[in-house]
Amino acid sequence: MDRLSLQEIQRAFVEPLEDFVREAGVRMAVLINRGGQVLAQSGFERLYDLVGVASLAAGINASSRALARQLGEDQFEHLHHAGEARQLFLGHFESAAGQLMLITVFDENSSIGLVRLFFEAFVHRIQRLPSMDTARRSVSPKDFESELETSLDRFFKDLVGG
Amino acid sequence: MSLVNYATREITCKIVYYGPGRSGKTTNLQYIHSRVPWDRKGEMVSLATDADRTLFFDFLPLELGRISGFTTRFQLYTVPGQVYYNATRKLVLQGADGVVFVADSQRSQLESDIESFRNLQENLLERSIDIRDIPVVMQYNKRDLPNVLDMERLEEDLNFRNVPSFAASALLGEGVFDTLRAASEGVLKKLARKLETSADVAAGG
Repeated sequence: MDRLSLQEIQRAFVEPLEDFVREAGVRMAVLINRGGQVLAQSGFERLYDLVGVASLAAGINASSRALARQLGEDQFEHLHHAGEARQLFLGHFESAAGQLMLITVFDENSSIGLVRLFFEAFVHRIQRLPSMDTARRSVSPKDFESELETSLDRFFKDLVGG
Repeated sequence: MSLVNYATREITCKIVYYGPGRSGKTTNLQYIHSRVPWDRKGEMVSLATDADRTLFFDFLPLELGRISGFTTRFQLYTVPGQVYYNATRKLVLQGADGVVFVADSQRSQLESDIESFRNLQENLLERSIDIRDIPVVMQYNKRDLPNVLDMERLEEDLNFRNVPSFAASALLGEGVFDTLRAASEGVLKKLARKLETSADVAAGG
């Protein structure tokens, strides 16, 4: 089976995402898994704006899927919300890393047609990647556990101001 | 499930605050949000009804720091406590790495606490998760109010699995960080065991 190096894993998601952003002319895009965890992003300046968007989108995806099942469908097609200046597209697809979702924000420099077109191309690229669970381990579980207690003490001291 | 990204050296874990309506789940997150420095937290997102009851979830991203060279992040969620919203509770539970059960210590709320804890077990089981296999921390909230049950009684009725438990008054902040610390520790210890026994995971679904 093909194996990905660490640099390849990083590039595996990031390069197709950056190509998508450029070709579709969108402002921002983020690739998440079903739990709302971020796998790659382009265009978000603050990490925390990004995780907020990702968690809300995962919520929309989960509730849309649950609604679809109640109505006898497996899952609805992609979601598109249009505002006055900005539009949002949420597209889901299956991959070797489970169900993933692309969230993208665009304005008058793009259109829903363009976004859908390049979304399909993006999905093809991600689906051609080797399995994502072949990454090499680079952390010692023993070190991790032994550092855990002291790290948590330090973190919580920092968090609550001592 | 916890997401370990070896490429960017990040660990992301999800902790869900569960419990009956008005037991103080949102108050826990609000207190954490109010105390944590701005550079270690994100915006708190609350999807609530007009009457300020949680409709879907509250969400608070937190960054703890680095362990073994990995930046460790937690995503804290609450579920809507009202019985009516079970479908959305199940959605929020998806992919949880740990649960904080926030019980209302008031005598009049014991039945609601027990019902909610049963509901947690059922909802986990529906996703083929045995409650013994996921880190759970118990918080007995509202200890500052009159007419609360004593801790022994609450332990007896709710904590028969003997998980870590804490007395709290979330509105005043008492016990809030102790609870979060215990939940974080449970989740990360489980992750450490998983790192030891399982194949590597770069991206979880």
